[in-house]
Order: sequence, then C-alpha cells, then structure tokens
Amino acid sequence: MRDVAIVGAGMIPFGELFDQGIKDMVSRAFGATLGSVDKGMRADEIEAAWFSEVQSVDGFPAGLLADACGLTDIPVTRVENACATGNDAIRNALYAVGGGYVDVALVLGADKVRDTASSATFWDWMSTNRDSAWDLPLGLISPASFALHVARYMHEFGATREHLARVAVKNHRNGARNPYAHLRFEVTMEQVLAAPMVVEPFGLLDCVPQSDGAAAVIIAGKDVVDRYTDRPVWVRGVGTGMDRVMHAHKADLSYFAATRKAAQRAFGMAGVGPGDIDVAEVHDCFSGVEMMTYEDLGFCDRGEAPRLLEKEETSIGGRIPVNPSGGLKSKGHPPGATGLAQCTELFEQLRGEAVNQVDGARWALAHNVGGPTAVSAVTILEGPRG
Amino acid sequence: MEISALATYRPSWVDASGRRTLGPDEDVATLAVSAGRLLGDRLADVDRVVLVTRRPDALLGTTPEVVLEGLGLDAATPFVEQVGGAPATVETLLAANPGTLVLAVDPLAPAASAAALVQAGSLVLDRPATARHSVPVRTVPLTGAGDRVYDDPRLLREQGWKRAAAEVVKEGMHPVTVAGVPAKVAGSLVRGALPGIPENEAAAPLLLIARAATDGQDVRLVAVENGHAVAVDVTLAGSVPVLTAERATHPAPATWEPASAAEIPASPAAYGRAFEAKVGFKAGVCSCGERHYPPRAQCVACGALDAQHLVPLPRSASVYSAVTVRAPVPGKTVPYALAVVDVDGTDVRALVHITDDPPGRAPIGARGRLVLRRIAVRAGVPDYGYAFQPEEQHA
Repeated sequence: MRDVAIVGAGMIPFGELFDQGIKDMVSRAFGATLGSVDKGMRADEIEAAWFSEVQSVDGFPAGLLADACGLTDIPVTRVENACATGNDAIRNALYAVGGGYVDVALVLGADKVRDTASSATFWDWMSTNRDSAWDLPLGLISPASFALHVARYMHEFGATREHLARVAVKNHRNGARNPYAHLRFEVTMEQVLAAPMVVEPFGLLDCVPQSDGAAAVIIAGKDVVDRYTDRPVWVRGVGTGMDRVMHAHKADLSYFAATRKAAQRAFGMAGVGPGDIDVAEVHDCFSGVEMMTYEDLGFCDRGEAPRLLEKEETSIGGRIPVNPSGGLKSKGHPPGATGLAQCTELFEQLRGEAVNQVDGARWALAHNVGGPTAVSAVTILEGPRG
Repeated sequence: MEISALATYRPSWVDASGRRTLGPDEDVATLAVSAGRLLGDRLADVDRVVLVTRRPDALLGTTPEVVLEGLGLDAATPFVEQVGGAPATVETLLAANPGTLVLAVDPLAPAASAAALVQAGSLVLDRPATARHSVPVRTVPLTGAGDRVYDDPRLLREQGWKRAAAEVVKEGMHPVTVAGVPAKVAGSLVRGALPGIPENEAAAPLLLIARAATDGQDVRLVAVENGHAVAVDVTLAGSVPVLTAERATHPAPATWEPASAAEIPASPAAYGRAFEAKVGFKAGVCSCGERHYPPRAQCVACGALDAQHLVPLPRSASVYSAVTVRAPVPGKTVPYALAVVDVDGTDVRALVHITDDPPGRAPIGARGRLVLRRIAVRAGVPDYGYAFQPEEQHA
C-alpha cells in the first residue's frame, strides 16, 4: 500500500445553523477544504468521495453530496458508523487511495441535527442505535449509555465529578478561542458542578450540545501529493474496532473495548505507540468519556486517568494535550462531521497553524467512539516534518 | 368451595391522601402478576385463570397473554377477564372449580391486588346469599374517564349498601366483615361488623379473606357495590398460607405524566418476537449450555445456529452499574433509573429500570429482585418487561 496524505482540510463553524440546510453546509465545507489546498485544486481533480453522515436529512445522502458539490461525475458513497462515522470514512477512503485505485479522494462529513422538533429528534436518533424490542423502550438515551460506563469506572477507580468537570473546563477553555466552535465560552468548575443534572453523573455542562456542522479532508496518494502541497500531513494509521451492542453484553463497562481495538489496529499500522503522540482529538461527547479514553488509548496506565487531569497533563502545555480544538464538548458534535473536524484541527496542528498550537507537534491521533459504545475509529497522523 | 392458598400485594407508592397508588410502571396486568407470583410452586396446579377488576387496562389488549407469561403458566390456559367489583369477586370464587386461580385487582388508589388458589384446602366458603337492587349512584364509563357519581352519599349508603347487606347477612355465629365500601363505613354498615380496609373494589374480598385466614378468625363476608351484595361464610378448618408483598411506601409525585409528550416508536412485530423471553424472563440456552439474554439465532460460545430453547432465569440479581436519568426525556416519566444487573448464579446481565424506590437509591452492588413491569407505552400499546426491585434497607 502506498503512503497517503491529507492535502487539504476545512470546515464551517459549528452551531445551531438554522439559516443553512445540509446542502448549504456541505457545499461550504467543500469550498473551505478545496481552498485550504496550498497549491490549489480543481473539483474535477477529485476521483471519488465518501460522505460521512449519520442521520439522513433532505434525502439520499450520497446523491446529495454529489449534487451539492458538483461531483456528479465521480462515485460517491455514504458511510454510516454511528458517532465513529467520520474517522471510519477516512479509513474507507484511505483503502482506495492507498490501494492505488484513486489518486485524490474527498471525505466530507456533515449532520443536520436541528431540523426536527426536539422531541422527534430524540427518538429518531435513538431508533438508529437501539434494539427496538429490548433497549429502546427503556429510554437508554445517549448520555445514559455512556454514563453506565463512567459510573462503573468511577466506582472502581475512585474518580469524582470534579475529575469529569476538569475535562469540561479544559475543553471549554480551548474552544472559547476557536472561531469554529459552537460553544465559545469558558466555564468554571463550580458552574459545571452546579449545572442541572442530565444523567448522573453528567450535568448539562458535562454534555455535548446538539450541533449542526460540516467538515472535510482531501487525501492524495504519495505519487501526486507534491502537486498540491509541500507540507502534507500523512495518514499513518487507521483502525476501527467493534464491541457487543447491548450494554448487558459488554464484558466490562469500566473501559471501552471498541476504542482499545481501534487504537491497537491504528498504532500497529502506524508503527508508533501512545507515547509518541504529541496531540490528540478525543471523543469527549461526555466529559467522563474523555477521561476513560486516556487509558484505552494508552496515554496512561489503568486507573491513572484522574491523575492525568489533576496534573493538567492533557491541557495545552502538558505532556499530551487533548482536544486543543475544544473537543466535541465546546466545538460541537454533528456526528458525521465530528471525525473530520478532528482531523481538520490536527491538520492545522501538525502544520503549526492551529489556534491553540501545541508546540512542535509531529504525531497526532483522532478518536471517535459511538453507537451504544459499540464502535470506535482511530486515525493517526504524522506532520510534514516527519 | 375451598381455597388452598392466598396472596396479596400492595404497591410501594402513596398519594397525597396516604392511599397506596400505582407506580408509573404498574397496571392491572402487572398487579395481577405481583400477587399471583407469590403463590410460587403452587401455580403448577392452575388450569384456569379468572381476573376480576372493575377497571381493566383495555377492553382488548395484551392482558391475558402478559399475565399468563408473567405467572409462568402455559399460554393455552383458559383465561377469563371478569369485569366487576367486590361482589363479582365472591361470585367468581363460588363458581370456580378446583384448579382455578382467581386474581382480583384494584388499580385505582387505594390500589391492591390479591390471588386465591381454588383447590381442596383448609379455607371453606359456603352459605352464599345475594341481593340486587338498582341503585346506580356510581357509574364507571367505558372510556376510562373519571367515575360519574350522583351526589347523594346517603342514598348510596341506605338504599344501596345497607339494604343489600342486610338482606344477605343472615343469622350466624361468625362476625361480619364488609368489603366494597370505604373503611370508615365498613364497620358501621352492619351492626357489630369488624373494622374495614381501605381497598373497596374487586381486591377487597380477597384481602379480607386473607385477613381472616391470618387472624384465624371465621367471618361472614359481605361484599357490596351500589345496590348489589353477595355474602358468604368464611370458615377455617386449619391454617391456610397467606403470602404478602408490601414494601415501605414512598410518596408518589402529583403526576407520573412525562414532562413532554412524544410517541415512542413501536414495532409489535419485534415485541412479538421478544415476548416470551422478555415477559417470561427467559434465556435462550444453547445445546452447548451457553445462556443468552435476549435469545439469539447464533450461540456466542459455540456458534451453533438455532440450537437454543427458552429457560426461565433466576429472579434475584445485583447492580453492576446504575445511573439516574433526570433530563426531561419526551414520552418518559422522569427521573428514572437504569441499571445493568448481574443475574444470580448465571453469567447473564440485563439492562433494566430500577423500580419501586425513588431513583438513585440503589448503588452498585445493591441486591434485589426482578419483577414484571410495564416498561413503556408505545403508540398506545403497553410494553412489558422486567425491572429491578432493590431489597429494602432495614435500619
């Protein structure tokens, strides 16, 4: 397989985008991404596209992307893999480009969450992810699905709500400076702890907002990278991992088995380890999920994640800064766009252009976990200095 | 006509007037099962079921199937839904053949349910008498709307209850106990009557028979409703088992209504496929011995296809992880607690609601039982399954 690099990455500001339909969002994210290519790129240089979208809105997803971006002359495929869709779509495109079937591919992610009534959104989205007879009627809403893990972790390792709040405070601090973030404000520990309860142990400020958004990357094979940039960001590893879909069937709720499997594959492919990673974008849909994921990605030993937060090792300036973009927590979480937005942030980080720049970052990792915590996708990137 | 065993159940919640009231996940079907299951192995003798209530969950729905599966009885067991109040329960008992399980359910506060196994036993009902007059002071509309009550309590009492009761009391050596009227009326309707109980519909006669059996006290039971009365002598020839489930009570909120309405998507086809395992709490056991809950086509251990049969799971469990949902989930009564529980003696876990306690009181490690509850109402159709009832904490 040949080497593959990201040569362009872009996004639109996330938020409640009541003034944009999904087609508008897709077109604009595509424009931003094409515009980010250092030496320029025409749309007709793209040979195939993958559309990362979790919930279909406004019709047939792949056709919608082809039409909205003027790409009706190339094959377009929609990828859906719950909240891991974004990084999993990159994996799909990487196989095509790395295998030599395609030289230049677009991976564009988008989701339009705020086009339906709040109550309808709730059950529409839950129905995509739950067994109709067994889990759906119980009301295993997304925060509860993750809270069952975090509650067990807290029980086993003595983590507290203060540890969770540290994640929210850190990510909001980063996101407040990110012009593309949905929630551009800082929060204090006191505010996080005092916020109304959603699902114990998560208060409102431990949870992601409901965001609309779109983001994309353009990847190219090594043979053609030079046409587009002298500062490519190499995709060194991809991995997707699964777990049993029902919580009752997961061997141990104190970790995310899907994340461990995805990370192991991605690190194995990249030939590096967790200790090599300089900056990471981690799926912090709920504060405690980021905390637990430090361990599943190998950033610290089992049970040590709370210490990492206490020592601020995942803050900018720490040993392994996590979510310099603000994470899902502050930047927002349109599921299909999330993984692409993470890679957009890391593209900038590895080229030294990020708003919250991690000095000298060379290796980066992006991580999603989703569905009923049954799928994870990890992407490992290496900067142009490598 | 003889009774060999009795069971009574009262829900864990009380309304603002201090009356037992249903939890958000209870209805006539779950109340019937909550009482009936207390009879345990004795249910093996049941070959017919009669469910008496003045207020069925629906005129057509899922009640018989759920009650039979919830009791672990064969789905082909004859099942009669009898609409009626206190007199109807006594009439049902008198007409029942041995092998009949009589379930009586009062879903409105004061709520309760009771079960009697009609079978050769030490409790005998005889010397029946009936009186019936038209005194339609209370009428119950079919639609489930509130009762219509003609505003003359004295008419109901004098021309209805008292006249009918007087005609059936008869002279005898047993003290009188009156079912079907408020507790404060029961003691005074007939001279010398024993004190009453709060329950006053179909469950009341069985609750009073259970009280008589517990106290070892023979009684003349008089069951009344509007202008209808049925009386019978309750005589004890020996001790009769009375199984009782009553937990410490918690105040119920003013309403269990969801904060915002929403129709939870339903698939009767999917529910139908899950029904026996879900309502009977049964695992799919593979020929290799591996247990699956829910059952599935392919064994996770040996990979065999279609090699599973359903086997009931133990009902005791402990909490592996638990959370409380406080966000106003559309269509759900909040707060509610969700738990993954370890089923005792197996490697089976189940995701369930926690029931019968205010949410948040059952931490990881808490022990309890799995009980049949109405998990949700989806597109108007009730959906039943199991919930975790924590053991009571005795100070």
